[in-house]
Amino acid sequence: MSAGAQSFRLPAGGRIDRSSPVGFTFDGRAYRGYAGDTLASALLANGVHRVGRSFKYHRQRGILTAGAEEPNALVQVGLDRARTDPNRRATQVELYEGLEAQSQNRFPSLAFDLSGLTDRVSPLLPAGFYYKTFKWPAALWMTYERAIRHAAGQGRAPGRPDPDRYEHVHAHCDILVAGAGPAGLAAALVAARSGARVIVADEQAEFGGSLLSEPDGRQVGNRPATIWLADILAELSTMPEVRLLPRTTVFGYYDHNFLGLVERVTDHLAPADRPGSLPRQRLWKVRARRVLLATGAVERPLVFPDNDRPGILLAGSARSYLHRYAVAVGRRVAVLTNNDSAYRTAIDLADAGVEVPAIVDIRVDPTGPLVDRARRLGLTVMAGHTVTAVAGKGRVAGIAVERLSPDGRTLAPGVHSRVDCDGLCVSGGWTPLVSLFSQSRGRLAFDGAQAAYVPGTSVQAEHSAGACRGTQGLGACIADGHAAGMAAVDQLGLTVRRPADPAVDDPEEGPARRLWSLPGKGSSGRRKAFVDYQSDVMDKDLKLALREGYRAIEHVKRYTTAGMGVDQGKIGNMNVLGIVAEATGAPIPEVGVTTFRPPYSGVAMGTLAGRAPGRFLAPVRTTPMHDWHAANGAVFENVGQWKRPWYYRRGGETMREAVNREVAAARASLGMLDATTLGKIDVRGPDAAEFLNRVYTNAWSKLGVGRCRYGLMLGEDGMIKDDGVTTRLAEDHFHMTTTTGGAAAVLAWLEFWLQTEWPDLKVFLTSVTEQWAVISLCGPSSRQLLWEISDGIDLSAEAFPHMAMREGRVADIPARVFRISFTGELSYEVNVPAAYGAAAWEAIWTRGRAFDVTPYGTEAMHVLRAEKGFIIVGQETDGTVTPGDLGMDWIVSKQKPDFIGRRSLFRADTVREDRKQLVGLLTESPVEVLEEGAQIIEEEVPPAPPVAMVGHVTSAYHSPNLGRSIALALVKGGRAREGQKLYVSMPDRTIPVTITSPVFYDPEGARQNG
Amino acid sequence: MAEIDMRRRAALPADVVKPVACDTAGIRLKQVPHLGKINLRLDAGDGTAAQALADLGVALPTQANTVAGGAGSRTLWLGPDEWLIVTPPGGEAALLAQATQALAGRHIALTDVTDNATTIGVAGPQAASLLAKGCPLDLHPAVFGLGRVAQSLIGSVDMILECTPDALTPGERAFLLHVRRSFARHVWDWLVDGAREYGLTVEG
Repeated sequence: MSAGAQSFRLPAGGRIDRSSPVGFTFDGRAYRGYAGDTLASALLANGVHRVGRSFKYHRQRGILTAGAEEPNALVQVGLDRARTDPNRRATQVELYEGLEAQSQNRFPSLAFDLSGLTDRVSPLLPAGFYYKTFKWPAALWMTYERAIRHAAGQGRAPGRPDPDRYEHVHAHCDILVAGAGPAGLAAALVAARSGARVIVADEQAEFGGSLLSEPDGRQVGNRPATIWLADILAELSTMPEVRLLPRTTVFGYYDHNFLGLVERVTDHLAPADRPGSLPRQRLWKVRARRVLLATGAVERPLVFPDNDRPGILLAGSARSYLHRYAVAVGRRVAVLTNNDSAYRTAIDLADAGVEVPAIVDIRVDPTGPLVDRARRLGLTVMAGHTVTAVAGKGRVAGIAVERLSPDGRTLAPGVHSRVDCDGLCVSGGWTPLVSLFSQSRGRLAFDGAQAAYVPGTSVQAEHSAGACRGTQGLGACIADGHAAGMAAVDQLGLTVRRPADPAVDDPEEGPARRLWSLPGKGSSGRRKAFVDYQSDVMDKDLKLALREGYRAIEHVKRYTTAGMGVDQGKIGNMNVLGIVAEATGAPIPEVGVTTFRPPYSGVAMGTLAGRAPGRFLAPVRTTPMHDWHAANGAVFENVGQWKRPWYYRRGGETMREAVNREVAAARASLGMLDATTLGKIDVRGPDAAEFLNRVYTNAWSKLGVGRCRYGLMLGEDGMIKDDGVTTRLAEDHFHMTTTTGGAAAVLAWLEFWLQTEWPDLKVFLTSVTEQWAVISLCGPSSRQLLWEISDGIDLSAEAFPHMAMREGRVADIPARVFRISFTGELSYEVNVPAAYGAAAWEAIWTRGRAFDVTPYGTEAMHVLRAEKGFIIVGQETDGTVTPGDLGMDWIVSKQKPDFIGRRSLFRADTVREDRKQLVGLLTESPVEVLEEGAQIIEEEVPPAPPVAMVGHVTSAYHSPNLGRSIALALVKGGRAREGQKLYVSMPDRTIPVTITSPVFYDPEGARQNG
Repeated sequence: MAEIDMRRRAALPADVVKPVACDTAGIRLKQVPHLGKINLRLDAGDGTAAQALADLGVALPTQANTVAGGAGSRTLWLGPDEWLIVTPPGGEAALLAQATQALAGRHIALTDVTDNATTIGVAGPQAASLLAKGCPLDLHPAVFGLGRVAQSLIGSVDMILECTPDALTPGERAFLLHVRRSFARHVWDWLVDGAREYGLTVEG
């Protein structure tokens, strides 16, 4: 591409770096721009206006604005399938060498788009078209939806995992300044000088806001505006308590002055230049004592026929392109306005040598210094006129101008004049950006003179300053920033001298004329005057919605989708309200205003996820013996956040073979299990036993020191909540265990009762879950092994019976040994301080070899306990199961006056005879293992649905010790059905089962008590 | 058969905390294993108990989220009736015995939690920035300076965060993260990953 290609670039000026040319492509074509350009400014420098197709009608659309409010120039940035980024605003994409961008919403190409045909049939596609047409028949909706989704695409999602890194950061400050324009910087300076901790965030690469779009000669006080800006930034950047965050959007304002910011750290760099150590983006979670909103204002368009043609820009944006980027938006540019501000654009364009053939002003008699200046420059002001048609589909070629009737609702009789032009700058006035204020739940007030909502009553600790609260004029905005800064500082109890407000020459502006929908020619069916460009909503769609009975503005919004696009209605909202007010004859404030919600502008999913995807999604907890397990073939199972050995694979074993081997060994000689993950709570105090009486169903007062007891905890609803063995260490001291998954919740639950219901009980709870590593020894050889490896413990059955605890040394490590059993075997749980866990495990393993010790995992543990009919909370229980349902009435004290859940055990529903009860199930075929969760029915051949369900399988295993399959189940009235035959329902058949006792193995308990 | 190392073992194995040197490190990480830790529950109104502990050299801070004591043992305020006494490695057993005796007859709970948690040290000019990635507290020196402690989160893991003097750079802060032992590996990996943009030294 030749150097002269940037033919709309002015020969001098702008904040671009002409010594750094940058090559980029758009829709495959190569262009050049300069460092400091946005994609939009570089395209405009190359004369490219048309950048996309509209959402619904696929109309050709051009760059409308120069900022975050851009509704049209949404582009796909990057062609790499992993990093491609849809819906980026070309006005915000900083140019870098090699940048590849594509237009969206077109097939097969931007110039010729098949779906553009929808534009011609648009009279058939009114608001609510999809709701009305695709509603019936309901069964076809999925088919419709697929076609609509294809037609409605907004760019392409990445096709591969995101390779970039995203960080989250918490930050705190006294004052957060959102927006570094003149008002925000003036406020930030005041805040910073007071010594406050200040964060200043601005979405642009460069601080300065509207100052960056001012012409060279602009003065602030006695200095050029650029120097005023540079001086403030220099001062702020040296202050240690000030953090400046460029390229950072404040996107969400939440409760208690908590705000979300997204910082684009490396997006502006070519991919190859992005340092791998840096995140692509950072999500800042800021807690600010006070917030200073200085987010500025956006211009709004006028609503006239074909107001969406490429080449039509907002007047202030055209001025930004002219001064900031040295780009003329055309060679012959007309202006359409209802206020004075667009005259600045006309004057500046003319000063830059761009032809301005006409200023079409809908006001009858515009006056004022800016109007006078335009006239003095010889510009044609067509007062009382409007634009009724725009020639040129892919680019403005001319406009038709006609005189308005006195009330502006129709056209005056007469001939129209055609003005040839290749650009049209439009201004319908300015809308303060109150999104963040509104997100903070502040109440908006309507400013009639500006026909705009401005911040009214604050709810949170914030201040608005500058154009975002309707202040007009550079000088006034700076003064407003100073004032807001002073107010914020004062609220913090700090003091600072207020800087002098600089004198600024801001010409007075006259009143605007409000005509929300400008008249055109021809049938209304043909008229296409857009209110919301992004959602393709026209003025007539709003009127249709009103005619169809949608009165509330929130309903009008949802029915027409006005304000629901990526730009969140920044451009169009005020025009929507104005048109609805006009059509209903209500004043605008009575129409109401739609709700502003976060995010202010789109935030990448990756940014919200941060470093969470992958290994940091959730913590992984490991026991002190974890590395040994891993080195010895353990296959791990997730139990809550814990990794527990599921089984240990030896050689080429299958899981079933490994589990069978482990189960058999634990009953034949000796198994060892890492039981560290069990929750452990140290319970201490003179009322400890009474406390246990209240939280467990059974009685604890008479438990002897050194003795253990199994306990069930119920919720207040009488349903089983947790279980475990608790041991009395001293009169006033107990060691409680909980399930692995319930540990944290049980501690919180117990603390809740102590702190809120029983503050009179003298009990302290301390979590010791991780203080102790626990090795469970199981099997007939466990006593012998312990005898060999321990000191100071009399292991004889008489001295150390089942459900007792002894302290001593194991492998020369101080240990608590609990004789308890979850397997029905002779079994000991050896507790040692966790730092010794691995050593103790290795020592037991080594000495145990003589007994053919076999490490076993959670699966074998489950089989062993199921053989004994021992329950697992969360497997045999599901929050609807009482102790009685499990046949565990023996553990519910009849003497105790109360315990948590007691009262509920006597409700009519909990004493029903036909509640689901725990039973055993045996299949006819010994090799058939039932599916856990399978439903149980009474009929071999299921009748027509609905089929009565009488229960479900809770646990099912192959039991190598019994040489057959076993299962536990909850069955309605199950205990009375012992010996009966029922059927387990499978998708393709039923499996006959016989109801048995849930205890399959050693029902007398001889093995564990021996 | 290989000899079994019967000494106590740190939560993070040597290959994980292998020293790494970086001249421009913004972060210095280290494992601080086996600090003695005793959890103390005590009615805060019991002034004589505080005196009994003071006689043992155990200071009891009454101001929320502060640390009292020094080289021998220091006490971290965890709640209105809860403290964590931290001793040099190996110091917990004797202190536990003395304190239990000194406070005998009162409603207290002195619990050895030495192995319940382990400690990771985070130092260096970017230490606070690294922690800010996962800790929602305000870590500004004026708010969380020397002698401050808080129970908070690092990522999604509970921690007790303590601000201490940096041993290498006089006048600078360093942080001790007391995390439950089972989470140590996760937190360590999370910190190492988060330090990527700052440069990392792992101290032996």
